[in-house]
Order: sequence, then C-alpha cells, then structure tokens
Amino acid sequence: MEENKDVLKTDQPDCVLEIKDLSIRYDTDDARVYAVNGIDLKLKKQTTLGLVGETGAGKTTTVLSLLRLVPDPPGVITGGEILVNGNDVMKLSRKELSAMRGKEIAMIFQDPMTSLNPVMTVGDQIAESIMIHENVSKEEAFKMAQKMLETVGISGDRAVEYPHQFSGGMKQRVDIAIALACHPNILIADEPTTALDVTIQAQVLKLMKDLKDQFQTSMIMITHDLGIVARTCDEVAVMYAGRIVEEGTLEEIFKKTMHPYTEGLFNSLPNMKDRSSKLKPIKGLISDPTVDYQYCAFADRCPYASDKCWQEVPEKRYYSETHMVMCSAYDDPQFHIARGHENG
Amino acid sequence: MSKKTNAAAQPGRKTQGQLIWHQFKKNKGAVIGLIAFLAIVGLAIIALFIVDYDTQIAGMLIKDKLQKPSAAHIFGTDHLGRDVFLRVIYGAHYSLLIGFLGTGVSVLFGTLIGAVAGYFGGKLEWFIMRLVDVLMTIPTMLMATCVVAAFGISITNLILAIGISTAPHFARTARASVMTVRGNEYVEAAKAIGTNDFVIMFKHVMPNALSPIIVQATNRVATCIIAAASFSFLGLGVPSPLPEWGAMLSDAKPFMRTQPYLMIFPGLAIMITVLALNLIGDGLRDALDPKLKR
Amino acid sequence: MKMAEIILEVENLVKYFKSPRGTVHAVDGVSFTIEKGKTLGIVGESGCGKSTTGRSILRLIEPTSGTVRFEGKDILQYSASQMRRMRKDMQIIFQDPYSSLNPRMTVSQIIMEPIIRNKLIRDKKKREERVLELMKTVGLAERLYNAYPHELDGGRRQRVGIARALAVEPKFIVCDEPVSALDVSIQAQILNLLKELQEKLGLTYIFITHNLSVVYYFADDIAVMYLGKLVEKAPAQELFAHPVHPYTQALLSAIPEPDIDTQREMIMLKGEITSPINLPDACRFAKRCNYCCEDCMKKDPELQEISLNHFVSCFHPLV
Repeated sequence: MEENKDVLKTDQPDCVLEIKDLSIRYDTDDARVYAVNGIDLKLKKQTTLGLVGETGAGKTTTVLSLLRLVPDPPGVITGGEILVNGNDVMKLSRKELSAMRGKEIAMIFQDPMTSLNPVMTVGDQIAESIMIHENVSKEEAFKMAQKMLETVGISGDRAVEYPHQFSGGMKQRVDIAIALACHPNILIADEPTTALDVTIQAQVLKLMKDLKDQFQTSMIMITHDLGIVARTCDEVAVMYAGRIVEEGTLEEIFKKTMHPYTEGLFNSLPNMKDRSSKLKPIKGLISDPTVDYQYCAFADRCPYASDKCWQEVPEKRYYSETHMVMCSAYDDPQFHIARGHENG
Repeated sequence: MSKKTNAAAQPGRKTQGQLIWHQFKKNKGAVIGLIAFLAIVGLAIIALFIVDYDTQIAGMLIKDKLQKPSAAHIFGTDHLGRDVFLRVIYGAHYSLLIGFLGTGVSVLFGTLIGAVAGYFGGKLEWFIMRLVDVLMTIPTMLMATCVVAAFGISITNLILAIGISTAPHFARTARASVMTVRGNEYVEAAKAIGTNDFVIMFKHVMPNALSPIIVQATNRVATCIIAAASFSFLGLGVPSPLPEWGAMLSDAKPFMRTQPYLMIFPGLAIMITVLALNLIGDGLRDALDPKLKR
Repeated sequence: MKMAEIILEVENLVKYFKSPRGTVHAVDGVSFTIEKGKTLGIVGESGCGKSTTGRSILRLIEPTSGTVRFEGKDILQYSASQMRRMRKDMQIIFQDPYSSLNPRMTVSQIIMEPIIRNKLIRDKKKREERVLELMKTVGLAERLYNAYPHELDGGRRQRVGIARALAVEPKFIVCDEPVSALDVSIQAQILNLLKELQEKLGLTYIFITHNLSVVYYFADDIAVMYLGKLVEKAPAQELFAHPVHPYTQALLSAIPEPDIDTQREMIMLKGEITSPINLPDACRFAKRCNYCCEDCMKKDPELQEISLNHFVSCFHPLV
C-alpha cells in the first residue's frame, strides 16, 4: 500500500464535528483510567460515522465529551479540542452549552428501559426538549411532540401514555423522537439497538436511516456489530484502548482492511459463506484501561507484532484522503495482513 | 514475545472482606465513628474491673454527695456520693449488652423467618408475612410493658421484649434480600448440580443476602440502646441502683436545675454512642453497596 | 444404514405460568429430537420461550405437561432422588457470567462443588487434581485456583461456568446464550472452546441464542421459536438456504451482515411481538404476517415435515 503523505487536510469546510487530539482520563480513588488517548475525528455533513470497538475502547467517553457530559470528577479532559459546528465546546458558557445540547447535537442512549423518566408522559418528555429550545407555548410544544411521535411511527394519541406502556422497540423510537425533536444536525447513537430483538432492530435502523435523510442529520453510530456498520454507515473509525487504530470509508475498512485489530474483529465473526471454517479469535484479553500505553496497546494480542511495537506509539499514516492506520508493521512497505490477500 | 503481562490477569488478591474494609476506610465519618465506638467499648471493659460496687453503685459514701465536676471526680458526684464518671463508663456495658443482644435476638429470629418466607414463597410466605405484619403493629413500648408486667423487670426480659418487637423489620429485609439473591443464576446452577434446598439456602443464598441485614442491624443497635435507655428512664428497664444511662437520667430529674451535669453526662454518653453507631452503619452501607462505583 | 442414536426426545412440552393478567403460554407444545453428539440450536426473540424450554428440559422449571425422554427414559416421571442422579448427565451453562457464579466462592470451590455434591471423588487430593484438570481443559490458568469471580473478566468467568458444568462429566449440556454477554473477540474464543469440547467429549448441546450468525456456525439443526411454539426446524444450512416460514424469512433477512456487497433486503414485519398471555386459537404469527389469510386466523397450524428433516408449522409455507 502506498502511503499518501501529502493528503492531510485538517480544515474541511463541510465538517460539522471535529475532534483534535482528545485525551480523557478518569481519576478514581482506586486507579487512574486512561479512557481516551489522543484521538482525531471528523464528521462530515449528512454522513454516518460508525465508531466501532469493544468494551473499554473509549467510544462512550468520547461521545459524552462532545456534549460535555463526562462526569467531572472523576473525568478529566487532559487535552485536545472539540468543535461542534465550529464552536469549541470546552469554551462555551453553561447557557451556551444548554442551548447547544438538543438543538445542535443530540444523543440516543443504549438502554431504552432506563433512559426515559417513568413518571412523565411520553409527550411531555418530547415537549420538554422543544420548550427548552423553541419559543413556543406548552400546548404548541405538545402538538409538535405528537407530530414527532407520528414521524417515528407511533400514533400521536399515545403521547399521553407513560413509558411502561411501551415495548422496548417503541421506547427506543420515543428516544429517537426526543433526540430529533429540535432537528439537530448531529445525532449520536450509542449502541441504540443492542438491547432490542433482531426484527425490531431492523425496524429501528430503517427508521433512523429514513429520518437521517429527511432531516439531513449527520450521525455517529457506536456499535460493536460490524453487520450494523455495513448496513448503516458511510465511514468507520475503529477504536482500541482509547485510540483510533484505523479509520476510513466503509469500502476501505471492509475491502481494504489494514489494521490487525480490525482484521481480528472480522475473523471473530462466523463466516456466513463457509460454515466449516473455524473462528479465528483474537488471543488474549482486552487491554487494561489503567495502563498508559506508551506503545501499541494491541501488541500483546497481535499476530504480526515485532519488537518495535513495544517501543513506541505507532504513527498515524494516511493511505488515502480518508484511510488512516496506526500500525508500526507498515514501516515495512511490503507488509500486509492476511485479510484481503488470501488469494496471494 | 510478550514483554508485558496483561495487567488484567494479575489481580491484587483481595477477598470480599478486604475489599469492603478498604471501601469503609475511605469514609472519614465512619472511621471516626468506629474509633469512638471502640473507645467506648474499651472503657466499658475497663470499668468492669476498676469500679468498686459498694461505693459507686450502692452508694455508701454519702458524704461526697453532689459535688461539681473537679479533678477528683471529673464528672462530679451524684446525690449518693457516687462518681458520675465511673458510673457512666460502668453503665456503658448495659447499653452495649442490651443493644447487641437485643439486636441479636431480632436478627436471628427475624432473618430466619424472613429468609424462609423469601426462599420458599407460596402459602408459607403468605403465612409468615402476615404474622410479621401483626407483630409490627404492636408498639415497642406496649410490648415491653406487657412483658415486664407479666415477667417482671429485668435485663433479660428487656432484651427479649426489644428483640421480639424489632424482629419484623429484619424479617421484611431478609425476605426482600433473599428474593433478590434467589434470582441469581448461581442459585439455579446449584439446583442444576442436584443440591437440595436447605443447603442452597444456607450456603448460597444467605451469605449473599446478608449485606442489607448487616447494615440494618448496625442501625438497630443504636435504636435498641435508645429503647433501653427509654425503658430504664420509665422504670421498666434496668433496675436501680444499676447505672444504666437511662436510669441515671431518671435519677437526675429532681436535680435538673441545680446539678445539670448529672443529666448532661449520661445524656452525652447515649448521644455519642448512638452517633458512632450510625456513622459506622452509614459507612458499612456505602461499603457494601455494589452499585457505588469503586 | 446405521440409525443415528437419539439421545433426547421432547414431545409436546408445555409450560404455562399463572400471572395476574392470565395464563402465560411460555412454551406451548414443543417437540423435537436430538442425536447424540449433535447440536440443536434454538433461536427466537423475546418471549418466544427458548430459555424456558431449555430449563424445562432440565426440570429447573417444572413443565406443566409433556414428555422428555433422555436416553429412552421419561425424566418428567422421575422422583426427586432419581432426578438428582440425572443431574450428572444433564447440565447447563448460563448467559450472564456476572450472576452465574457465587461471589463468595473461589474458582476452585465453584468447580469442586458439583463433584462434592454428587460424591464423585472421595479423596481430597484427587478432587483437587480433577479441578486443576478441568481448569486446564477450559483454558484457565492454574494461578486462578483461589481467585474470586470479581477478579475475573466476563470471558474467564464463563470458562469457570463451563468447567463447573463439565465437572460431573455430563452427556448433554443446555447452553443458554453462553456468549451473548461477551465481547466479540472473547465470544469467538468461547465458541471455539465449546466446539472443541463437543468433539473431544462427545457432548450433545442445545444452543439457545438470539444471534443467528452464531447459531448458523455452531448448530447442526436449528429450531425457530415464536411465542412458545416451534415454527420451523431444519438442518442449519437448509434453514438458511430455504427458509419457508414467513417469520424465519423475516428473521433471517433482519440479520445485518458484515458484508457490504451482499445485503439481504430486510423484510419488515408489521407491529410488535404480541403477548403470550391468553392466546386465541389461531396462528400466533398471523397478526404480523404479510401472508396472513382467513385460515390462519381460525386455527393454530401443526408442525409438518415438508422435506427431509425440514419441519414447519404454517398454512402457507413459502416454498
């Protein structure tokens, strides 16, 4: 693979979200957790970016920081910049922050069971968001909430019902309605369908895609499921131990996979085409989040590791305008991983 | 090849007990409470050796009566010439005894029936919990009065009365806790290997259901101490001339205006003991709560 | 032709629960057979009754009615003491690695308990050796002998659960979503382990899961359940290649595949999964089915064999 050295463009005008060299750490009584370690991320207009990784990769912490929701203490943002629609989130006042949340950027959480207030009607919860940001009366806000419910496929009459009267899939739709009520241009979905059944998941994913097109929203979709990524995302960033180890377009990540961890994730999945082939799991355990890795965190588990992998943090290399890989093995221009090269 | 062993594979070997203690230590209030409590216990034990029954309990040296606190008698003396300080620390052991034994009776009786109710469910549960409901409706004061009227005033009767009247609370807690633990898959796993119900209940369920009971017990000791003091104050508890704190308060009533220290010191003793126990209880609750992130 | 040895025969297994709102038809007449050494995958979504079926077969939940013949003998007729002896042959691996291990017991105590309960090895030293042997078999390092569950991650805990199940040398294991709570890379490790053990020890599995790609990889035959009934059963490859029940088709189409070239068109089902309480006498899937007709609303279809080893219960199988 030819590294493309002069392709780095740091200022793209159509970027709604930009993270530069972000590092976040949790200082608890027992230990220091290095959750996010120097990541760069860009979200373009009307694009869906998949943030892929396993437990402890730092995905949730990263997106919480976009809304400045990282609990402080014990969370400490030790470096970097977060620009939402061009505004530096860290420099906003409480009032500006409040105005931004929900209006410009909104979030859907993983567990629909606990993200809704059980003692408020569904309509009121949607209207709450509307009333914070729009200058409308209570009645008007409620009417808009009903319309929002219709948009997500729930009858507007049900706005007066309480969360416990809805099933899991419907609750997630309500969450989506709340998030999109003020038409934010950035939506963050943190494993939105993990707790749902497969057929309901299909419905919710389709809904999200339709709404994304309708409202022209850009989305960050956090998931560990590469199948969902294939179905819903345009671009992908793979995280491991608080770093982005590979990022690129959907095509690049699936067809031109470069990082050994990404390859490992694909190999861990059952091959739908060949039942008899054995699963090739990644050996070892997930990295220890209390360690401040001054070298490649994946080295212990990597089948291609060599001495230099334990000596320094790998460089970020760009192989196209969009395709980035952090792996020292590529110091050798002849190196390639097995995936994609099975035929020689 | 691997130069660094995976840190997650090297656990600092700590038992659950050590983990709980470690968490408890972080709560400064709880630690202060523990120190205070241990000091009181220490003094109570010393008191049993150094206090002379004749002078300080029965009160034979009336000539020293009603002296204000001084170097010789740091808490002063009462109307029978007895040293208040010595009586206070001697009296500690009554409160502690009644508090702990009373709670012990409660815990034993209440937890047992509550656990059985929670584990087996069905008609047995219904029957036990209705019994518990009935017991709960009887006010402790009333219960104690009945017991005393029937069996006479003594420390044992006081312990029994207090114990039985607070048992229902433990029954409820135990039942709820057992029901929660019962739902865990390791209980099913025990069934799957053929373990019988009683072994499951005592080996798997009870040890894991104890946390809320321990916390409640610590709080109950404090309540029992106050109850004991109240009963003694009313003359239903520890009989005179034994220096139970509540009884001391009662004796000090006629001298309230002229020798207030006779009331203040026993009162303070009760307050500090109860406060210490409550702080310990809070610390224990926080340390045992699995939801609080460590 | 050698007759494959059938180790488990389930006939009309029924489990109803009483709830304040009515009778919950958790499992409503499920029948299937499993050959020795094979894996039957049971798939379905919430409320389909797959977990209840697994537990009912082991009598961890007492079935309401039906027959469960293990090695030819109906275990539902067994007394408590006979059942206790059966427990050595039939074991279970649980889904949640966090609640399936007693937090107050060490790894060795957890694995040793079944051996002690069933009086399998009297000599203490030999028991310890057996535990170490089991730990090695499932890939647990020796130094974890005295570790507590809270010191271990999900994957390791699950291995302890597997070792515990193996301790009694069972012939048959119900795996209830054994990898659903684990990270993808660890899932693969555990699945490989389970497959290895099956080959080495000749185990028969029931593999319960909602993850269709995992079951495709792991199971020989797959049974699809919906609201307490078996709607389709076929060898794994056959089921995925030719699903005939509308629900199976929708289910398979809904799996997001990690492949950007071939994406199945998602078949959208109407509505939500209905409640298994007080069900009317009609096909349970009728309300959501895109092919529903009058017949479907009148009677509940029976399970029929439409081709070799391929069973379906539907009035209009989509052949």
